[in-house]
Amino acid sequence: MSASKPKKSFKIEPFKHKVEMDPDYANNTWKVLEDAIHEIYNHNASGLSFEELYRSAYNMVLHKYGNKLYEGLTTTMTNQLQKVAGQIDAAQGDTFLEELNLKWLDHNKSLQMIRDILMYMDRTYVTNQNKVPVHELGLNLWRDAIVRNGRIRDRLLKTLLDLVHKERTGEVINRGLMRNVTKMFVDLGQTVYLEDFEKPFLDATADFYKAEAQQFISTSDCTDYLRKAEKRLNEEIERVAHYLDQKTESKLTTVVEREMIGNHMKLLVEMENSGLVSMLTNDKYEDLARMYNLFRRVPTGLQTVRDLMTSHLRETGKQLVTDPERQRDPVEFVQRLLDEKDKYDRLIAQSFGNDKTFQNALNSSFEFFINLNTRSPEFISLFVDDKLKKGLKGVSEEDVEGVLDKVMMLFRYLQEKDVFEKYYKQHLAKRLLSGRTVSDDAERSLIVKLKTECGYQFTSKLEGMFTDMKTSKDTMAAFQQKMVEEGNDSDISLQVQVLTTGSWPTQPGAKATLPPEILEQCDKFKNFYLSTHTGRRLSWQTNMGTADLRATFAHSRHELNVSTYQMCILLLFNNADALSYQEIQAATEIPVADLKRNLQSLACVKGRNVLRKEPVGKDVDEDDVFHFNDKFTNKLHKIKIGTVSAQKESEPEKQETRQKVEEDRKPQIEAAIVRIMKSRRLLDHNNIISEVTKQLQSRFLPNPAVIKKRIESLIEREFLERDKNDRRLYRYLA
Amino acid sequence: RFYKRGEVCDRNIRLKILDESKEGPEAAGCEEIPVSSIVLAAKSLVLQKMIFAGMQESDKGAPMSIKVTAEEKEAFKEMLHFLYAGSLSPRLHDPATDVREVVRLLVVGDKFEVPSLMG
Repeated sequence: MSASKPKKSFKIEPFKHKVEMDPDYANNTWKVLEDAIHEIYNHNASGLSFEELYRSAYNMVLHKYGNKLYEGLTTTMTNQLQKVAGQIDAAQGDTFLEELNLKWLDHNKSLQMIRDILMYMDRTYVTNQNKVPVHELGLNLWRDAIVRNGRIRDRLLKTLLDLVHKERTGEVINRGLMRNVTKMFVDLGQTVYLEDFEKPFLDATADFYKAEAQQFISTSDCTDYLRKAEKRLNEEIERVAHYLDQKTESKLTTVVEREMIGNHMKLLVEMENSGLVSMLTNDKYEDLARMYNLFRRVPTGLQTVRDLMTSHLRETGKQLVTDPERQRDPVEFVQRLLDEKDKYDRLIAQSFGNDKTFQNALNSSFEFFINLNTRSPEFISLFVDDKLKKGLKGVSEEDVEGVLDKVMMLFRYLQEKDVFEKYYKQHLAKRLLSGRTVSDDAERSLIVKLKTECGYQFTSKLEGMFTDMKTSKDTMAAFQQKMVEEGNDSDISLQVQVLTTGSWPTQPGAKATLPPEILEQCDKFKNFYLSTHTGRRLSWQTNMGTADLRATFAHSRHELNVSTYQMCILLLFNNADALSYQEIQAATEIPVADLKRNLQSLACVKGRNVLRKEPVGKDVDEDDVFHFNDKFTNKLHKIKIGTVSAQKESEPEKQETRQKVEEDRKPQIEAAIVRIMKSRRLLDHNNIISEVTKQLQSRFLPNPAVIKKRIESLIEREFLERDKNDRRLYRYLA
Repeated sequence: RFYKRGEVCDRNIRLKILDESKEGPEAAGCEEIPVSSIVLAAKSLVLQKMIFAGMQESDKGAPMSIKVTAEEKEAFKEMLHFLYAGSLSPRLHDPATDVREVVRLLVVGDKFEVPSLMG
């Protein structure tokens, strides 16, 4: 019959004959397939002929009975699954879940076979008619008949949640079974998993941990609580790995984090004796790391930690810098700041994973409290002074760098960097002039650091000081050589340092009458110097020098290292045994304050009292009389007599420095204003203030009132004018 | 037939003619062909499922019985050739051969899901 087949649509033509020939064909064939499906569910598949079944289904589809086949399959499978549902429901107690799992595995296997038999239908009929493919159909039917079966649904969920609860309370459960069942939910489709299992599961989880958190928090301290929370969290993550869908992990941890951490953050960090503050003070790195890792998981968690840390830091920092006890010893003061910084640096590195936001919080806190104390710049400079004078002896180069870097870090926090510069200049001058600096390299290294931080301008004068020192050394060598050549030997050896005015912090007008033998040398030097450097003017800064004297006492000889003033005083006693205060003053013309201080250090300090004062007392009075102390002894041969003066500045000196600083700021502010106005031409008051502040903040924080004064002064000098219409606007006059 | 040459054959296919008019005993035109189940499974999805479905055909001791209509029989054998050789037998290349034979091969190929014989 195929011989008559037309050339087109070969496939269909021959079978049309068959349909006509056998009207019962479809029913008979379907019967075969239906029986086979039952057999498959009854585990009797091995007796079936795949070829026959496939051929039957193939022919049914070819004969346009695809619809009958598909409908038949749906009905048969539905009936089959309803039977299964009955069996599952009948299972008692613990066997319920096992039965369900068993049936599920059965169904999968059967479904696989059925799909293979109906492969041709899946490929043609289902695709053409947009039907649900056999496999998916089987899953949907299972979902509706079993998982969403009114009698099974709740029981299943309750069983699962009970099992999880049991495991959470420490019992061992059959994880494999759990895994299979949850896998079933996933296989049935994401929505089934989400709606029928995950959502109720998460709700139950939230309830569980809400209760547990309540209980923990009332019985545990912060450390314990966090430990427990961490453990719970890991358990849940493990749970997901064992028998839940991977996608559940983030949701599950979110729930646990919210219930255990998020809802109790404030309470936890503020827990007395165990909260954040206690951890910080007691260096509990491990606990802090745990807190960081847990709090990081919840929104605003880290912020909570950071905020509390900041306020704690500010509080303790404030106490530190405003504690009057601490201010007695600037070195100790700065050391404490450095220690504190070190402590928190270490803490952030070890516990907070070097979190940038925490580092910023730390920095801003330091900036906040360091500037609470207006003397911080001075103290930091004093700290450097101390380190460079003696503190760095025997310390390796790297360590020196380390200390300097730390100081620079504190320096960065300072708002009033110009104040620091002022003090630093003074201290550096003292160090250089008294030759007490330990390491030139360290000095220079610090200057370089300051330069990188604040620019050339900041350090040019400091560098000028170093240059002066070097030139002076050369000059002195030349001078001495010349003295020797001229046979002009003297038992007084004069060391002169020529300082450039402006580079050095000089106290003007501190004149004193030098002893004639010194004066003679000085004049020689002056002539020598001016002969090579014409047009310059030398003036003697007697308040900054030092002198080594050889003194003979009744019992011993000593070498005394004294200031120039003290030398002037002591040399008077070469010709007299006793001198009154008035006589000394008349002879030396040392300023009153300095004279008193120097006399005090010569007469009133134990072990250094080369003079004797009458009447005996701590303070020097204008009526006192001084004697050469013949009985002076000291086991050391070389004795340094310091000048009694606080290392720190006295109150009036402080005021004076302050005033100087303010004075120095004026031109800087004016320069900034002019710079800004030159480019902007027209600007209103508030903007000028903010721009000036921005420009100058690397050096200091200008006071708006001061800026306003400067603007007014510039208007007076006709650099600026007020706008005629709008009084708040300023105009630049070129 | 060169696909029979191989020692790799592990199964026989018992090819039976299906009498369409009456479902009688299939005595007529029964033929056994030794085949390699691996080759078949690799090339035809349906044969693969048949071999591994766990039904009668999975019994390695017995021949796989496949029923075909009379005109399908030659086409089925041509398909086996194709499964082994990857190309049509020389006979089908002969212009004298009825083009309908090729068409039948394609129909059979579709039925057994041999990808390279399908659309």
